[in-house]
Amino acid sequence: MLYRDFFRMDGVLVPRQVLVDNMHFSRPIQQQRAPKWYPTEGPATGLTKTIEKKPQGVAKLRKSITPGTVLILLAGRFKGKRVVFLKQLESGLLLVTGPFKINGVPLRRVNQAYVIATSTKVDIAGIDTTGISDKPDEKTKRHFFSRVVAEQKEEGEGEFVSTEAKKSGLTEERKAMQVKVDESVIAAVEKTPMMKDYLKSRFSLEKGQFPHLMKF
Amino acid sequence: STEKMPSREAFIEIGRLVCINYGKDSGKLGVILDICDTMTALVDGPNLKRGIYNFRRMAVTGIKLPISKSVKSTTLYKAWEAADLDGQFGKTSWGQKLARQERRKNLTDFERFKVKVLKAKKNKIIKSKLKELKN
Repeated sequence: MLYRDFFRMDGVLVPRQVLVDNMHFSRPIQQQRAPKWYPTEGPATGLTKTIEKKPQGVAKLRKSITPGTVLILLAGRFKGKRVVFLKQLESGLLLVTGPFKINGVPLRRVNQAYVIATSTKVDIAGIDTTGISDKPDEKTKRHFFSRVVAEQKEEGEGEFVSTEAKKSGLTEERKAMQVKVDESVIAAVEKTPMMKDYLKSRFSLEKGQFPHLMKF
Repeated sequence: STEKMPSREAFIEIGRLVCINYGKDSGKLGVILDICDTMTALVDGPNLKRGIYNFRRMAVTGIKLPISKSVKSTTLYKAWEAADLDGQFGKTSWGQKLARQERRKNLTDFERFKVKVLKAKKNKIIKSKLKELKN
């Protein structure tokens, strides 16, 4: 029995319930309070459509890019370099090579969007690139371009721990493939005069040159 | 009054070969078929749309076709071929300059590289010869 359950009216203590019972309101007292929580979605109407997401196919190769095309890389470590296109890999990325001896670009994957295709072509018919694929192997989940990190060897104790420098993540397979593929590409490149110097040089814009007005 | 005479016989007249030098038809050749008013003429050519062009947008060449006024397009093209206007204009230094500009605009990336290298070689030879002559 709390004192707030009683009201003092005219000096008399009146129980609250009696007061409430006798009060007349022009509109009824809301017996039910507003809910504290509302659901975010309304009741199912049966009018919503569920669209099944179609699997995204491999990027369509531009018509201007064919095996042997000289491409200009526009982004990344080798931006501006002119490289030879070999084939489109399973993931849709383009396989290119410098060749490595000419401009330092190894067998590398490159996105089509970051590339200008020139009209210059190198004849690489008969090059065998079947050993290079970026489709992950079922069991090992690795492919030709998977990163390989050599284990660090730690020697010494306590504060004087010296770690051997991390070996580069290049497998013998990749090195061998680089040499094999580049042999035929370089042979084809050397057939055209000045082609080797062309691949050696980097692309850049000079004063008065505008890419949208230039022919590649 | 002192009238300015053209340095060569290149008047605005019917049959005159002109080169459009402004607008989207820049660089194209046409022949004046009729004079409309003080500023415009009817011009037609194999690569040009037959129509009225302003004199300000054309440059007059020294070549003329012997045609009559407002000939049909087909007649004009026959006369054009017969006189080999493209060849005639191509032989002039003006025509050669236009051809050179067109060639340079359409160089591929490889060709641009070759031009750059060969130009540097040429200039090196010239400079060394000049040095020789100076000494």
